Amino acid sequence: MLTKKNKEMSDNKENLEGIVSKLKEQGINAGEAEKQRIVDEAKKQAEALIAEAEAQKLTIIEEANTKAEQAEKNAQTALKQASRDMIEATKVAVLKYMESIFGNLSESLFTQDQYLEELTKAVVASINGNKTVEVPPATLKGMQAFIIKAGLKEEVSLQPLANSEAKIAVHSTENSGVQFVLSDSDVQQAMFTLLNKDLVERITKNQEA
Amino acid sequence: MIRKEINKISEVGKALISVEGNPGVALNHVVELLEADSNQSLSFAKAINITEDSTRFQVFNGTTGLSTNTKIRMHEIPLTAGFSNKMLGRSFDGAGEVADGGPDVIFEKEVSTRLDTLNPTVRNVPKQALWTGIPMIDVFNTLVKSQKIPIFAGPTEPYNRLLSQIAQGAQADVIIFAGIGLKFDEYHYFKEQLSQSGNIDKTIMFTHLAGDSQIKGLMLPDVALSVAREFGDQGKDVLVLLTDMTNWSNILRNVANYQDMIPSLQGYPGSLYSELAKRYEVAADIEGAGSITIIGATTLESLEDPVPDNTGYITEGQFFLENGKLKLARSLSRLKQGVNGKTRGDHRAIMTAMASLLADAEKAYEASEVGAANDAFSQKLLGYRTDFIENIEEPFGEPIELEPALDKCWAILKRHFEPTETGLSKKLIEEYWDKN
Repeated sequence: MLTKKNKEMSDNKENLEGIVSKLKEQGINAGEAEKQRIVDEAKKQAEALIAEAEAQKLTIIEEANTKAEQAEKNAQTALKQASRDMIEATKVAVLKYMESIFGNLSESLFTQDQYLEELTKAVVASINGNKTVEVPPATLKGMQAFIIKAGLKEEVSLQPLANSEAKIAVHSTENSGVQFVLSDSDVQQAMFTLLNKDLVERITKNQEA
Repeated sequence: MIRKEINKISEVGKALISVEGNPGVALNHVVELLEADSNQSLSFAKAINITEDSTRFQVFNGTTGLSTNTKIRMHEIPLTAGFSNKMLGRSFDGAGEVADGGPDVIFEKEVSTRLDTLNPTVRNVPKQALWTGIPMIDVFNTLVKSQKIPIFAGPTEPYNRLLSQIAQGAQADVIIFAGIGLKFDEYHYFKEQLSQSGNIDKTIMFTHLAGDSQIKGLMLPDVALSVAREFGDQGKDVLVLLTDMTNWSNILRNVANYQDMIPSLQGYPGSLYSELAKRYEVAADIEGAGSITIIGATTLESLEDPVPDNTGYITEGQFFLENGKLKLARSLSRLKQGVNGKTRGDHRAIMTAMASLLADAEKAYEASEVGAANDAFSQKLLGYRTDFIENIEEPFGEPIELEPALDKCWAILKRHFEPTETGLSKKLIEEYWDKN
């Protein structure tokens, strides 16, 4: 009886052990499979993430490059415009300076009052009988040129430095009156001797580009 | 040069002065106003009305500080605007003077600001597209070189941002921006955007800020359009952006009222139509030269307001900005048929198909508002409508060229419909459906 019971117990134990080991095996296998699945999934996800990041990296680099290119282009444009405006400003400054010299001179020589009082009187007095005085625009210009010339007999030249070759010369001729002809390069040459050479190079290079 | 000076101003009003008789000026001639004692220049003025008894001048800088003692010096020349290629990238005021704090510009020539009518025989039939990089315009309402078209928008809509977007993407040689009654931040925004997009070196800005003298604002379109015409004569394709023409019309109304002109609808002068037309008619494709295209922002409370109403009769269609979107249903480019047949084969077809589907979608949307439209196709239409508003009616963003824009349209159709539901021909479906 006892032996039978013992045997049964021993069988149960074996069964139980069998079940436990079976469960263990199954559990481990399932766990292994789950582990594998998770690892695979994680790998897949990682690969996808890496691919996405790669793609994004390319897009970001491309975008950054485009932006950098645009910024460089904008900077070039700005520099080009700034140099153009600087030359323009120099020209304006020179012209204004000359106007301040010659403008005052011609104004004081040729006012409406003087014209009426002196010139008209003299001309009219020399003619007898009924008089009409008409001055065509060409003559007026000639008279103006003559008077300006009288006040400006010699050539005037401006030099940035006493020993620099570049200069701006102003002639007065009977036909053309006072003319200020200044090209971009004249002003550049004259003024740039006073400026930083590197900057000059950059600006001139930019202008040619 | 001897210049006649007089000293008999009879009346100083708001923006205008009057002189008894005619001191020897012609219409549109410029006079200079000088301080009586010091001969210091105060402002310039333009003769606008000459009768036997009196001559009236518009004072550019306003009449503050003027008195009946102020001297008037005759210049005996009509009002002109300076022109130079070196104006590109710079800002000017309504009288054509430098307004960006930079150095003066030495003008190559002076151009008349009279905006004389162009001889019709030198006008070409508009047939070249002007691409803007905005799909809603390029695909659905193509802008044509020499077209004149307004942007109708409520006062709070981002119409200036839209103009700036157009300026950034427009394939024109020269862009002339003419802003009347701008706020400073708007002016600054334009300048900033144009600098960033790299278009500043082909842009000239004429700006009149809200606080500047009214007369300068009134003259601004004339000066800007004269400069545009000169560029056009030199063979350039010029795009002129006018904003805001309602502000300009309001100045016109004020000045007309100062002159005691008989007011017409809402106080505007009876000449409002012809005054607007005179400016818009500068748009032209000139034979043997370039072209001038005008886009004018017109703010409105209602389409029946005199300014948009008159503008609508002058211009060739309109772009309608509503809730920040360019609305397909309310916009129209009347000249698009002349150009959109010469582009990619699917252009016209996709334009028609998408517009027709959108019309159906609007009906479905109305039905859905009252709980109807539950069938599958209506749901598709509703999805399409949302997508269309978000992606096609949205005018802002990076400029897109025509072909990518057409591809984008195909992609939207594919997202929502079966090929047979689009109404597009089998041939086009075969060619483009699976490409996108």
